[in-house]
Amino acid sequence: MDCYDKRNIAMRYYVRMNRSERIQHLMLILSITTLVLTGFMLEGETWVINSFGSASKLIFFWRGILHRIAGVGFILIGVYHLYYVSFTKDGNSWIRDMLPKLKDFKDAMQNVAYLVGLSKERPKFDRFNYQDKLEYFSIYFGLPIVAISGVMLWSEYNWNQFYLDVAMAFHRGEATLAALAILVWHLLTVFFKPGNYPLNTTFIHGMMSEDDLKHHHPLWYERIKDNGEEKESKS
Amino acid sequence: MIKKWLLHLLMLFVLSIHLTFLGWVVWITYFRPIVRTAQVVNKQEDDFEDIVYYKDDMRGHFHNTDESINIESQNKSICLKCHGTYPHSKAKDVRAFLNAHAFFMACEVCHVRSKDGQRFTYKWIKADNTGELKLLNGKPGRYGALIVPFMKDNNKLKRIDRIISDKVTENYLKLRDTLTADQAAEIKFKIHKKVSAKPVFCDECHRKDGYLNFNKLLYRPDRVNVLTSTEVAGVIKKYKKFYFPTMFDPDAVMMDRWSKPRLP
Ligand code: HEC
Ligand code: HEC
Ligand code: HEC
Repeated sequence: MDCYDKRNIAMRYYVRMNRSERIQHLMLILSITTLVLTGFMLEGETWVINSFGSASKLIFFWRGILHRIAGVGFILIGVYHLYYVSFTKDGNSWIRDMLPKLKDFKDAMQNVAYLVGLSKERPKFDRFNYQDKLEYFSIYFGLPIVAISGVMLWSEYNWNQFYLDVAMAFHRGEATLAALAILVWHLLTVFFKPGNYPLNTTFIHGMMSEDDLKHHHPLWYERIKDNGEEKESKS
Repeated sequence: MIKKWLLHLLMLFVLSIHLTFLGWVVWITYFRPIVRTAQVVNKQEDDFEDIVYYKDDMRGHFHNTDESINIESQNKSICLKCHGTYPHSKAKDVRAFLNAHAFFMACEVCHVRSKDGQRFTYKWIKADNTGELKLLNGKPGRYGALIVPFMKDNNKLKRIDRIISDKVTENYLKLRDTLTADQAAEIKFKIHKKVSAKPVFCDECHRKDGYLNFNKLLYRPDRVNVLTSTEVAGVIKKYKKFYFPTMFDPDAVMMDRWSKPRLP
């Protein structure tokens, strides 16, 4: 843990993301950023594209290649993650805590009530709150859509135009949805998490402070505080 | 440890990209006008697939899906989309003949010339594209089929009545009024790159051993005699005064632009 300074902060830290999870997350950042940038280039402004002159042909050729590489990477991360949650100890605990429960629906109602002032108390969240779960499972929903339609568009010679049009609509729609979900939702609620100025560095070092933990995940804190400071796992 | 200023820098970086991108997505989704300036990009150098592409096409797939899928499904000539059902108007004497011929042969039969190095083959293709006609049945010129030129490419016969793509044509028609004179001239020039400067003339076909082999086109010998007879040739002789397209000659185009309008 060389990422945060123990000397300045006399506070206990808990492991929020282990190393494997951080690497998976980093790969996800890389592949999705590439996919969004190279994908939205298709909507590029004429004057920008024109400003590259004759090089734009080459640029768009590499755009296609990069988009496909990142797409394959994205799928592989998904497959690896399925392995991770199925067959590793940390992965098992991750998916167990992630599975939706009745409490999540109640939490959602109570949180809305709290936000509009109808309830005095915030819901007490466990390791993952209902928003985390929604965001997490939206990849289970979105990845197959973009992957299948993407592979169809890639192997376009085998399809007739109707299916390609449908695939294109799905690919574009889901990609726009996912890009906006990440930019509006994930970045603003997690990355620029209120109370973590200038930004939430958990994705870099994987740690979360005791304060944050108590505030945002009290139930989880209750569960793990007795184990003392959670050790980072080897994987 | 992570330096605080580094975090600030990262934050500013991500935030600015974030806001720019969001704003742009809103712009393209709700505000951007659909019609964009045309820009012509020549995609492939390959003969006959050297099709003019607009930027929209370039941003699409880098394989030519559209051409490979639709290449057989075309029966009405794409030329007609821009030139209308009766494309010949300038040569008053023969325009009716030319338009009449266009009803039973692809425009490319006359407008794309067979070169010595690259001989075309001509076949009757049923108008509904279900295959080749094996027997001529019906009134002259009305066999429910078109004469279509083919080119040998790697021992495969390839239809060449598709030298201009649908997309390009649609884009052109959509953007026609927004083009500057220079753009229009350039695009016209590129669209017609495969169109021969000199179309095939009446007397090249209507003579013995002419441009088309009438025997191979299923005509009975007596019909071949008529088509190659002095009778038809006689009709033609009267109309030697042709309007000659100038568009394909770049010098002529320049002259056109600088000088007075051509006399009719
Ligand atoms: C029988 C041969 C033949 C066919 C088939 C034919 N053309 Fe032509 N076309 C000519 C000739 C010959 C000229 C030149 C006439 C002249 O110089 O007066 C010409 C001229 C033209 C011109 C310019 C002159 C004008 O009259 O406006 C256009 C445009 C044109 N053709 C388009 C077409 C299109 C589109 C088709 C297909 C629908 C087609 N042609 C089919 C022989 C043909
Ligand atoms: C690319 C070859 C080609 C060119 C060029 C061409 N023709 Fe023809 N023409 C034909 C063919 C093929 C037929 C036969 C149509 C049929 O009966 O199936 C025909 C038929 C005719 C006929 C009808 C003959 C009959 O007795 O039925 C006339 C007249 C004629 N052409 C005149 C002209 C004139 C005038 C021109 C020039 C403006 C011209 N053709 C240019 C190929 C051509
Ligand atoms: C995208 C629209 C478009 C398509 C498709 C198209 N043309 Fe043209 N063509 C034009 C325009 C525009 C002109 C210029 C007419 C003028 O002079 O104003 C032209 C001119 C011509 C001319 C010369 C006329 C002259 O006066 O010099 C010929 C010949 C011609 N076209 C043949 C064809 C043939 C054959 C095809 C099909 C292979 C075809 N065109 C397809 C738009 C088109």
